[in-house]
Amino acid sequence: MRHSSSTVFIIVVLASATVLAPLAWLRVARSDEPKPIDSKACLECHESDLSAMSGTAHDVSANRVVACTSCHTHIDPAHLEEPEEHPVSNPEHMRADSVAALCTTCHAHPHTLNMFERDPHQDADLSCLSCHRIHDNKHAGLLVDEQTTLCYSCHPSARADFAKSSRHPVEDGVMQCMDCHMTANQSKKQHTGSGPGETCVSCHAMFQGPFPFEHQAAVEYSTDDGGCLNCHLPHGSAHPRLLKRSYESPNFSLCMQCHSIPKHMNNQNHGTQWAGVPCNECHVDVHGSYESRHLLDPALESQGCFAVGCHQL
Amino acid sequence: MKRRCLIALICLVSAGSARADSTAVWEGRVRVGGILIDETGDRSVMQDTYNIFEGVSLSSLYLKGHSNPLTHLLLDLTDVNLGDRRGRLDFRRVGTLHLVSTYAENRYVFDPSGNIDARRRNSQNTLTYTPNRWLWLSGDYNLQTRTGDRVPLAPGPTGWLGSSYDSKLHRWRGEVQMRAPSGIGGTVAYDGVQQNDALDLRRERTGYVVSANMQLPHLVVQRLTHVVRGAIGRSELPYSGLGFDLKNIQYTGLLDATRWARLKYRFYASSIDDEATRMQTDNFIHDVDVSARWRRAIASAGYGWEALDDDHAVTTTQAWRGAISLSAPENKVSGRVAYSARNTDDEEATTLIKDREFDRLDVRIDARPRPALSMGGRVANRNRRMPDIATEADGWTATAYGTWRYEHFDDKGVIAGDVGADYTYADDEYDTTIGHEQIVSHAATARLNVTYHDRIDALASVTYFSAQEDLDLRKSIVSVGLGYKFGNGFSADARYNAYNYDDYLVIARYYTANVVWLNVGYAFSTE
Repeated sequence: MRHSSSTVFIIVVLASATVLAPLAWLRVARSDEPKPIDSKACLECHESDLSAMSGTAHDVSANRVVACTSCHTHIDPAHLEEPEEHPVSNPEHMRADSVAALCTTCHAHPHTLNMFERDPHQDADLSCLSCHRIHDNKHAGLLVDEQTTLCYSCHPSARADFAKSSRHPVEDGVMQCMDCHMTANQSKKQHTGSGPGETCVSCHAMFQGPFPFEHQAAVEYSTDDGGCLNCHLPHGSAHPRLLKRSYESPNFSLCMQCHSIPKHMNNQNHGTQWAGVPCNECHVDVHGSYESRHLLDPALESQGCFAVGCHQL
Repeated sequence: MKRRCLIALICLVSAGSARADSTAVWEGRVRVGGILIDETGDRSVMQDTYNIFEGVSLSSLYLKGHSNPLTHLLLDLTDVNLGDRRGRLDFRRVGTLHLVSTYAENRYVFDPSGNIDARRRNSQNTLTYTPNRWLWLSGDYNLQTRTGDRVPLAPGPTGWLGSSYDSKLHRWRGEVQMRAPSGIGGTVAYDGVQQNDALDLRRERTGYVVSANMQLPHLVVQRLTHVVRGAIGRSELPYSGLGFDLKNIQYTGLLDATRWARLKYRFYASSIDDEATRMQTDNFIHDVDVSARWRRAIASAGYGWEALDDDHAVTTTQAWRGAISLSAPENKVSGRVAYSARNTDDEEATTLIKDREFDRLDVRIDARPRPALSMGGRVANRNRRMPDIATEADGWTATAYGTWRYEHFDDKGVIAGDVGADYTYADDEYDTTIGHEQIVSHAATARLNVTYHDRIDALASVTYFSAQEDLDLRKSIVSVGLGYKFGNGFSADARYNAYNYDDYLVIARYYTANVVWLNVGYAFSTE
């Protein structure tokens, strides 16, 4: 059944692409837009812009992949004679959504598509050019500043997160914001990926699963709030190991987010015997277990914990 | 060893190119020096010093330039003989080929003495080839290795994570990107992953995702743009043969109804068939957003509906969102108010938290009264309620920031300075049936950079963090630095950092460190 549904899915995608692509291409063929002017004509007057883009992806000197008219799309041939009276279009003066549409004509990868179709940056009228500068820029990715500094300029509270005692190593230069944000191949949620912890497991692969015995809180697709984020704060935390809540005696409120219902701290069989004992004393495999549906330590068997009528392994 | 050979080869090729071609331009610098550390206390509490290694160091090796206007190279190596070594190689043949290769090492410290630690080594290699303007081909390979020790957060058995790491994570990606002048474009990609573990075969896993996206502007209807994405994949544990299959498809339609109004509709469907839980979870999302733009204002509103169907129960979520942005001429002052709410009706038997209610309010204002001066503030409130288990999390955050840049040009060059500061207050309260938890935190940072006639560079910064109420800890980092460039390409610089951490609830959890960096350097340019 699984294979048949996959087959149907693939057929639908391929059929859609097969039908839609030629239609779009036909529209291109009908396009009556003026042919672009060769970059050499532009550089006769704008030579300084060539050196400003030298060695970058937008270097027009090769005259192969990108030309001035790739971005300055609306150009009247009369501009060559009367530049003041017939200015070229300038993306810096366009609306955010128009800039995104322009950039995605070349950059059809997930980052730009995220910006184009669903991104709070665009909703706040921030365009691609709010973060990228095409001319006269030597930063990686043509960002207007070093990546982390750039993000902090609008997100100062993120800087505060990374000042906390437990945090991802962004301040150390080991990671950058875009290692997690805005690069997801399938953007279901704002900024980050979908699927079972897609973003986190790109580094922490051992937690991806599937485990024979899952911890439901860690399985993103069955808890809306997002697997790893049920217990961890990804930027930084005052608690160790990026934990969202305190993992300290007596309450271990991290676990009590969900497990206050069974009342491990006081129940009819054990009374308060386990109050104040760290949860991982018994539940050792909180990210998912290969052996126990209660994520328990198999060594507990010798203590009789798994006897019939008690906690089955 | 291979890496060193590669580096030497690149340097030789670069030098040869520079000699061979009169149009070649190269610039570079070398910095050597040492790091001195004086520290006391619990090494594990201050993450900021995990990746500082004492000793003599080849601090920086930097080479950048081109052998001809179409061939560019960048090589940037940091601390190559220390445990935090990092490097970046960037080679571009303009319009044809782009290779980016990066490498970084870092460590995580688990114990107070700093002797129990784990190391990560991460190398990323991406090659992009552009045979013509309609086609981009790229390949990507990423290798992460993790070795060393591991200690659980609280004393107890280690579980399957064990007490040490020895694993390799291989990730690779092949991508074909096509585009046309009209804006139609698409990408087909294959992502593969393999985790090898020398200590426990159960931790090994493999997986792949095949994905595609297509952007179709102005198809069928002139003002309508379509974006379609889809993916299929599988993740599997070779040891047990268990795995899950995933597939998803996403459609977004953007309708520019008028010059000032846009309508956006998004549909997302995914299915994950998990052989471990024996559940197939189908996820469906519908999102509708409308935005209107005027000269000085943007208003947007949206509604979303989501369903998770795992064959046993259907969990539904409804979401509302709205925002208004206003700006003064030339963006000298701008502001934004955004509110969103989300309610989840959870019928699933396996989750304990059940229904959830979220809401979030964000207010921000930014001002730029002069080109060199910017300031602003944010206030945010996030609230999460889980009524079935009588749990509520309520968080307030307020941030204020300001930056100012000064520049003065005279006969000897430029005198420039940047100063910036920000402060964040956060109050997080958390209530359950068994207790109340509250953390009030203050985080402040300030930075000062001064450049005097391109000869003297000075910097100073302060980072302060405190958490109170149910925690009581303070953390601070003070940094000062001074660099001087001599006229013949030589330079010298020094930096001093003081780190301090105190936990007033746990007596042994404190840390103090004084770290000094001393370097001399030489810079050259053939231009």
